[in-house]
Amino acid sequence: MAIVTLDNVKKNYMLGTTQVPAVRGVSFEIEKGDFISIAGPSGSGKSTILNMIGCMDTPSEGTVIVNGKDISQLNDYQTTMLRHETIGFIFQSFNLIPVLNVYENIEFPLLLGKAGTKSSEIKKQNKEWIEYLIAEVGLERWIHHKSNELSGGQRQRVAIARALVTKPTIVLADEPTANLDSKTGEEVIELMKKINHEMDTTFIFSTHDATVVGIADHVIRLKDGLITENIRKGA
Amino acid sequence: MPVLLKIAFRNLLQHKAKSLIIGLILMVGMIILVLGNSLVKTATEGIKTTYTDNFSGDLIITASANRSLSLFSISQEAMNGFAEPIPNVPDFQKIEEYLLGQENMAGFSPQAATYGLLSKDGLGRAITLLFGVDPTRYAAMFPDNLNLLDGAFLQPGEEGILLNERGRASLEKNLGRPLALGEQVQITSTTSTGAIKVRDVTVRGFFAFKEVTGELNAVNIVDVDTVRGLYGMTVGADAGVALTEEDTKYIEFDIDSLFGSTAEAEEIEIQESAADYDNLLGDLSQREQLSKTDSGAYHYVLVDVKEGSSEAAAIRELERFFSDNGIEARVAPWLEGAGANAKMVYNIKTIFEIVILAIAIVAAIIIMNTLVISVSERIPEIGTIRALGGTKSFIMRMIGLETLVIALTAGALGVIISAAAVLISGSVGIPITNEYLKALTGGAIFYPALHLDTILAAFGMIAGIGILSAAYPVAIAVAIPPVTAMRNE
Repeated sequence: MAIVTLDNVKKNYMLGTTQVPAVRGVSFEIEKGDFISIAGPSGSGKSTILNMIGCMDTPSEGTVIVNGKDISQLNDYQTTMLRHETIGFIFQSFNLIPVLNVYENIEFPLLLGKAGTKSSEIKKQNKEWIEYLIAEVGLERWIHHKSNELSGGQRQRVAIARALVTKPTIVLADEPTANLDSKTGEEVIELMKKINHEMDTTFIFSTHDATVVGIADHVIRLKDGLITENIRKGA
Repeated sequence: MPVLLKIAFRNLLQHKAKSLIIGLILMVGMIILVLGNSLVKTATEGIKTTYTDNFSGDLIITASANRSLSLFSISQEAMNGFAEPIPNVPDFQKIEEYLLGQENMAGFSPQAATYGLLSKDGLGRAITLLFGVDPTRYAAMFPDNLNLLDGAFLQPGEEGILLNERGRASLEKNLGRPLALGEQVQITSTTSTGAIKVRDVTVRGFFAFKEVTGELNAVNIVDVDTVRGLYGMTVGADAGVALTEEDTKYIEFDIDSLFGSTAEAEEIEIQESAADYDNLLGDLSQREQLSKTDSGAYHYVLVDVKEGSSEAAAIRELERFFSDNGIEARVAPWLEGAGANAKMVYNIKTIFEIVILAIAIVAAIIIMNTLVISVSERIPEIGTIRALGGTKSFIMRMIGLETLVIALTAGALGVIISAAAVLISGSVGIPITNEYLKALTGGAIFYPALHLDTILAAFGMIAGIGILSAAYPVAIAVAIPPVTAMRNE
């Protein structure tokens, strides 16, 4: 069952008075539990596609369906809720809240919206879940440290745990290894892959790193806003 | 601790310079508000109590035609003898009956006022303000407003003057000897029509007002008939003159006819006069009657409203009474009658409020700019929160709470500092040496008092400034799209 469907999606941006096409008619489907890489050089349109799947942008033409919902038909609150309940984000620059420590950063998405008001039983369950995730990403010793006290790899591990804390169906990762050295980058991707297997969470990540692309089960290659390759390994 | 509060506190701590700028502005604003309002409020309350308890009562009634309601400007008008005469309070008897029948009225004092030149045997010449009073009513309404240094207060129906110690000193200096009780002094004044009048008045006592304001230094208290006589408040003053047809036929005539033919003049035959000079003016009894002072004539009536009764309600009731009875009188609160000094304090209060408003606007602009910079610095963070599922209202609350936390913290510090300053100065007193300031503050030592409503109003204003200055940065923050989280720095 497709959890994400893009049907003839086009996206144009205005650069002054000039219309610049970023995506020029893209169609593909992503299945639940996929570990998919959207690969391509800079300016190929991978970030634009990721933004649309992440309900942060809408297509100029065509439809983007996420978890059965056409994102063009949703208002700001509905897209916010869809992001909160369905999608976890891992950013290239980690984007941790600087004033919060590791535990609090991971907990933060649970405190947004309705998730912020829960019974003590659920709070206890959440605590156990956060501690489990911290153990999963190997940051038990750093639990009370703030982001500026962590290395790049550690920050990205926090970001992975934060992306998973709401138990999302999809995790979007925008160039997750771009700001990491190659060894740490590989470790991060391996960690994502491990979680993908354990939790059956769909991982969609953009990258231009060939090593990272090689780990993906499903690869979509883009060039100049068009798909040049859509390969599902083992298919 | 709720996450919003946690983020707010930690952000304020993390951005110390920004927090310090905003906090200092708000704290100084709070100090100015609490300190300034406490001083002005104490002064205004003090001056109100001083005036209403000692000189002005709570309300003042005058004739509707009166141009000014001030006790002192009435006297100044009187000094301008050629100016429009000050009208008497109309239908005083009816007003008196009404006031006596009201339960919410504690007392009233009808008075007449004028200016005069005080002298003794051609020496002295001190300009004096004269309050012509009904001794019984004045003493009942202001039982404790003056210290009698010598002599006794005027008795009902008694002619005489109570000399203010300043007037006394001036006279004695020029006389070169002490003035004794029972001696007569002369008051020279002008009537409402500009005629000069001189009256001998017996000195019945020497006094000093307990609460002195600038204008009262020149006030002497006399029996009301003396003022009536000096100002020409006679029975005839208000009586109309009935002209016969014979009298009016000369009103309309051709002025050129006065310079017509001289032939008639040449024909006039001068005869020996056999006039009766004793009866030349005819019957003078009516003129004598009209020349008597009007025993019901007053320039104003000061009214004391009972403690706990509404002054505004008393004004409304009096206005209704005047309207129902066709009385051409008007009533106003004490301040209108209290004169320039009292009004000055209230004007200072208004000026202070305008200054505060200007400071508030400037503070709001500075805070707003600081917050806009702060929001601009936090665009990726706000974008990330939006991407993670933070609603616009969450962002709004987050920025708003940060401003509120700093506003309340700085406000509380400001209150503590200003309250301590007010309480300390209130317990030891601030010595006032300047005569004018003494008049404004009501005494030689000023004791500022702290008022809860002043603190609450200041907090309200600080919170208002906080909210107002945060509105634009919040609008910028909520407009930050979640996609900014994806942009790499």
